[in-house]
Amino acid sequence: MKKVLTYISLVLLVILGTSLGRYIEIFGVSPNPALCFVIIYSLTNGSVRSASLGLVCGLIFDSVSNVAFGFNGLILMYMCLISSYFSKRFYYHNKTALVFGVFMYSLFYETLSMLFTAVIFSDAPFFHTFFRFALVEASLNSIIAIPILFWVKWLNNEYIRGI
Amino acid sequence: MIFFKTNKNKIIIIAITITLMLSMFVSSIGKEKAGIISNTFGIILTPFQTAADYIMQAFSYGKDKSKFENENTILKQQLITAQKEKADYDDLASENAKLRAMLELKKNSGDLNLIAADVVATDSSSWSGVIKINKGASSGIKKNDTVITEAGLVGYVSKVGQTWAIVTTITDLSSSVSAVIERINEYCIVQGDISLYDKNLCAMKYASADSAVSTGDIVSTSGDGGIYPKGIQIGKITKITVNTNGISQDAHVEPFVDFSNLSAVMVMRSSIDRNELPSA
Repeated sequence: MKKVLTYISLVLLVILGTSLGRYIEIFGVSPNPALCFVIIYSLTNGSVRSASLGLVCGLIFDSVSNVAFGFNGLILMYMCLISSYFSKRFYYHNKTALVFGVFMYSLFYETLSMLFTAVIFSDAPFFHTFFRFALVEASLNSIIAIPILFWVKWLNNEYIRGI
Repeated sequence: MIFFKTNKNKIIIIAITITLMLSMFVSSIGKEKAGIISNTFGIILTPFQTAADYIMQAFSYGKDKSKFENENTILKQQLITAQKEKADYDDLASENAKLRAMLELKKNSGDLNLIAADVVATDSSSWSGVIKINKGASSGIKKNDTVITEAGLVGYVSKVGQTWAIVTTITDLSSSVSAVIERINEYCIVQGDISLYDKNLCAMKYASADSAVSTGDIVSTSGDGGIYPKGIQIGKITKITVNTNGISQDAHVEPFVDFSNLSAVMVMRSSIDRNELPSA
């Protein structure tokens, strides 16, 4: 049941981000609630669960994107694997560390995505794109991470006791 | 890493990686339609995204009710004018058809018809000018079909699913439109530019240095390149910038379409087989 709820939450957050997100822009940038969700989930859960959630989230992103299908799936699957590896060491009991984790992993994902979609193939200036979009989006993501954090806590309360 | 300690996990992760890489390769070679996985995700998500979009539109309607009522009055007046113009156009079209038949000329512009669609989602990347619409192959939409609104050019269909399609707008970094400055008949290219993206502007490039480009000039599609038909208005020049190469002029183009508030579009379906045309 918890797995089903987790994936329903993911789909709802993707819809929130891709459909309603365009109406809620801050500095011309929309936060990515689904990305926050998978990062927090992977920082508080095991590798297999995290990697599969990351993969599904990435594939959904790919279906609303113009990049080669599988690109986001691959990035998010490995990113969730890496973040779940660190979860037990640093983030298990610390909300601030979780929010900081969302910021760092968002920045990592956005920078990687930006490099492959904008900088390499479209000659976009790296620093402008990084500061104007990636950094702003990562900051917004870390703000919306706070309510999502409590949602994830409720979803997997049998796995994390300390948050 | 504990995850990689078991062979089963190693095999699964390698298999997924290889599958996704193959998928990326296959989708990057320009298929006419989206693949099975992409199509399935699209079909499942589109109704939810459409519903979410309707909810948001209902909220924004309540907020902007008086604005919409004024717009409605203006649009009704425009509709009456357009109906009169259409009647004149129909007379001219039928006369034209008769003359063409008499001269046995083939129409080389193709029969264009329009399919209305709603914008239901945008790409998750903040720098991407890609939108998703709720009509696809089942409505007759094909890859590279032109997408417009009553204001002007939106972009082209870059990926087609059964009930959805992905549209690359003219503000996207990968977009490049062969255009013409109407007043002076000067050919140029209108491209998406990351430094102008957040201002909803495009970059105009490669107009010759000695051409008399000025702000306020209207830019429209030239018909070259094989994707966009000729004569669709793109936007107007708002600023002319100096190009250091000395052989061309650059400018900022403000699209007539308001991309920050885009909720409905029209797809121009053409009877021309796009596969026979060179890519833009």
